[in-house]
Amino acid sequence: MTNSSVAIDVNHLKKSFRVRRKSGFWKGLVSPVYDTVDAVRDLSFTVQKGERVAFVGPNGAGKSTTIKMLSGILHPTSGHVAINGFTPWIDRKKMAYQIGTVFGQRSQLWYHLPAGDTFELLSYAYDMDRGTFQSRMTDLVDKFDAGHLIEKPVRQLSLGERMRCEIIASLLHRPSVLFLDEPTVGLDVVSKGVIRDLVKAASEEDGTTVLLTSHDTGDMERVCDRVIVIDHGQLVTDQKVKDLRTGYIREKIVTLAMKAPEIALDIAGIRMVEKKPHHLKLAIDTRQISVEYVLQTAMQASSLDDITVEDPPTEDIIKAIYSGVKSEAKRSV
Amino acid sequence: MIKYVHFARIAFADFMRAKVRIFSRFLIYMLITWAGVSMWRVIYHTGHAPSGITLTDMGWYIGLAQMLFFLSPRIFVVIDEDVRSGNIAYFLNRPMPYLAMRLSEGLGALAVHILVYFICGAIFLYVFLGGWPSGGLESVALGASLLITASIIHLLFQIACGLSTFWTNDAIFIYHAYQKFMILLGGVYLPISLYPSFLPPDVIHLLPFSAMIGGPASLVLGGQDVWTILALQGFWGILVFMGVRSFYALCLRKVEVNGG
Amino acid sequence: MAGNLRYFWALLAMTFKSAASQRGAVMLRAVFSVLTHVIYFPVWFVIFQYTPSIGGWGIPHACLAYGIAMACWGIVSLTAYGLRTLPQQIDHGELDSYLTLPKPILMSAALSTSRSSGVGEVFFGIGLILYAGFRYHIDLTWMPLILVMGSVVFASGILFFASFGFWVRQFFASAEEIYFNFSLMSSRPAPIFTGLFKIVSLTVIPVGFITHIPVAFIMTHQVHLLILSVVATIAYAIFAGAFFYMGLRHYESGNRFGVRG
Repeated sequence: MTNSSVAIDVNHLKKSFRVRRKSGFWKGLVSPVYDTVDAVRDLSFTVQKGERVAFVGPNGAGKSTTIKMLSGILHPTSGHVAINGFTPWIDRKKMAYQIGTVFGQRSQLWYHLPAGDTFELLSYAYDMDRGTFQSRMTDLVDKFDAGHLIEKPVRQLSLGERMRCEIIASLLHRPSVLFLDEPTVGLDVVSKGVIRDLVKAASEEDGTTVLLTSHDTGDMERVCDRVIVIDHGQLVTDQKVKDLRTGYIREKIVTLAMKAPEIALDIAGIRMVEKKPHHLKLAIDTRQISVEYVLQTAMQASSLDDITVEDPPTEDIIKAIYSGVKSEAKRSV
Repeated sequence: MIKYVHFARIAFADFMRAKVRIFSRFLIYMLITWAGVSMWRVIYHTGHAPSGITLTDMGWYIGLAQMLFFLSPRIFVVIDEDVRSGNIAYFLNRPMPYLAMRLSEGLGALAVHILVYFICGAIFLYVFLGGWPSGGLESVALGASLLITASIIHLLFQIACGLSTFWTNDAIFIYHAYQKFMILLGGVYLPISLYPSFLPPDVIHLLPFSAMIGGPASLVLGGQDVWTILALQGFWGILVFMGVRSFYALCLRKVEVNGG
Repeated sequence: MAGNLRYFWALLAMTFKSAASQRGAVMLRAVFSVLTHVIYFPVWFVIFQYTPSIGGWGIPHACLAYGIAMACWGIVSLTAYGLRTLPQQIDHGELDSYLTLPKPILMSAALSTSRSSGVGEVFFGIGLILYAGFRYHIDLTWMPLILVMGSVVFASGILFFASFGFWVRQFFASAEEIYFNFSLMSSRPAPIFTGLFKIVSLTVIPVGFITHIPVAFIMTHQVHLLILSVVATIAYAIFAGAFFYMGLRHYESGNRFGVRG
C-alpha cells in the first residue's frame, strides 16, 4: 500500500505499441510483420499530495501516453501505478471520483450546447447532490469569471474561453488529483496567462495535486514547483523548477552598450552571441571565467553606457537537456 | 490530363492497401448474393420458376445486379465530409477542379474493385451456382463490362448525393433513398421483365436505374440488346453529368455565402 | 445503480437536446427516411405479385418483418447511435472522456449520439406493423416486447461489428456497410435461410432473433419461440458486451497513428 501522503506513485511503467510494417499486398496479407515501438520504458516517479508537477518532453517523448495510463485510459504493457492508492486500469470507476482530466486537444464539452448543460450532466456522472453542485458551480464560475460563457453554445466560444470551461468541468467534483494534457496548446499569450493563474489558484485553494504536460516552459514556470523531463519514454531529470536554473545554468548572458564602436574580447570561455557597432552580446561560461573579470576587461577597453547580465531563457535550458549537452549534470531522484 | 491519371493511380494504391475493407466488403457481397439466390431457390422449389430462366441463370443475374453496389467506392462519404468540414473551400484554389479530382480518385478505386469482383466474384458465382449461365462466359463478360460504365454513372450520382450536404447537412439519408430507388427500379431482386403491370417493364427499362443494373445483368438471361443498354447508359450518363455540373455550380455559390 | 440510471437519463436527455439544437432540418431527415422506406417496400409487393409465397411467407409476414426491423433500427438510431460511430470514436480517441468518468463506458458511448432520422423509421415501422395487424387480423399483444428485444439484438449486433474497430483501423466505412446490410437482411423471408446460412442468421448475424423467430411466434403463438428469443437476446447482448470490453483492452486512445516508427 502506498504512503498516504503520496498522490501519484509510478513504478517501472512501460507501454509498447505494435506497428505494422509496410509490405506488399500479398505479403502483408499472408505474413504481416509488426514492429514494437516503446512509447514509455521503465518510468518511475512519485508525486506528493498538493504538489504541482510539470511533465515536459519533446514530441513523441511519451508524455501523453503516460498521463493517459495514469488517468485510466490506457492499459500499460507492464509496471505499477497508484493514484491515491488506486490502480487506474483496475479501479477505474473508484479512482474517477478522485481525479479530474483536461485534454487540450479533446473536449469533454458538448459542442452544440452551452457548457452549463455539460456541467449538469457531469454532476450526475459524479453523483453530486443538487445543492452541492449548484454552490460549487457558482463558486467556480465566479472564480473563472465565466458567467457569460456558460450560457453560450460551446461552438461559439473562443479556444481560450472553451479551455476555461473545460477546467471548470474537470474541477466540479473537487478532484484531489488533476491531470492536464497540453492545456494551453493553441492559446494566445493572454489566454495562456489566465489559464495558468487559474489552475495554480484552484490548486492552492483546494490542495489539488496537479500533473501537467506541456511544450510551453511558461506553463511549467508559472504553475509548477517541480519538473520531470522525459525523452524516448525515459526519465531524463526530475527536480524543483527553481533548481533547474542553478543546476543547469553554466552560462550568463552579458549585453554591453559601449562608447567605442567595437572592442576585442578574445578570452577563453566567452562566446559571441551578437555583435553590432557599440553593442555586444556575450555568453560567458562561468566555469571557465567569472562575469566580473569579463566586465573589468571590457571597461578597460572602452567606457560603457549600459550593462545587462541575464540567465539564458528556460527554453534554452530545456533544449540543452533534450539534446543531452548537459547530460553530465543528469540527476535522478 | 495526366494529373487525373495520377490521382486515380494514388487512389488505386491506397485502396489496394485497405485489405480489411476490401475483404469485409466482398464478404458482404457474398452474403447478400447468397440471400438473393436462396430466395429464388425457394421460389423455384415451390414450382414458380419463370419460364426459360434456369436457377443458375437467375443466380448469375442476381450476382451481377448486386455487384454494381460494390464496384464503386463510397465517394459520397468523402464529399459529404469535405462539405461538412469546410475542407472543400481549400480545394477550390487548386489548379484542378474539385469534382474531377474526386471522380478520378473514384475511378482509381473502381479499378481495384473491378479486379477483385471480376476475378473473385466470378469464381464465387461459378462455384456457388455450379457453372456458367446459358449464355456462357461471353454473356457474363458482356454484362460485367457494361457494369463498368454503369459504375461511372453511379459515381456521378454519388457525387450529387455528396453535394446535397450543402443543403441537408448529411448525405447518407439522401444516398439511402437513391439506393432504395435503385433496388426497386433497377431490378436487383428480380428481373424487370417479371415486374407486374403497375410497374410496366417497358417504362422501367428506359430509366437510368435499369440501364445501370437490370440491363447489364439481364445479358446473362439473353435479355436486352447490348447496344440499347449502352445507348441508354450514354444518354443518362451525359444527362447526369450535366446535371451534376450545374448542381455543383449552384453549390459553389453556397460556398461563397458560407465564407462571408 | 440509481446513480447510474439518473446519469443515463440525463445523458439521453442531453443527447436529444443536442440533436434538436443542430441545424440541418431534423424533420427533413425524418420525412426523407419515411420516403426511403415507402420507395423500398413496394419491392415486396412486386415479388409477391410474381409468386404467391416464398416458402410459406407472404405479404403479411413481409410487412411484419420489415415493420419490426425498421422500428427497431429507428429505436437504436435514436437512442444508441453512438454504437454505430464506435469505430470512429475509437480511431479518434473519443472514448477518453468516458473512460475518466465513474460510469459504465459502453452506455456512455452508446447514448451520447442520436440520429434524428430514427423518428421516421420508428413511425414507418410501427405504421407498417399496425397496417399488417388490421389488414390481416394479426394479434399484436406481444409486439412491444418484440420491439424491445429486436432493438437490443440490433444494438448488440452493431456493437459486435463496431468493436472490430479496436483491432482494425479506419473500420468505419466497412462497419457502416455491414450495419446497412444487417438491417436489409433482417427483412428477408425466414424460409430462405437454410443450412449454414441459418446458423449464421442465429449466431454471428442474428437477424433470426430480430424478425424471423418473433414473426413465427406472432403467426403461430408457440410460446417456446418467444422464450427462445428472450434467452437468445440476452445471451447475444452479453456476448457483444464482453467482446467490446475485450477490445477495450486494446484501446489506444488515438495514439497508434501518432507513434513514431
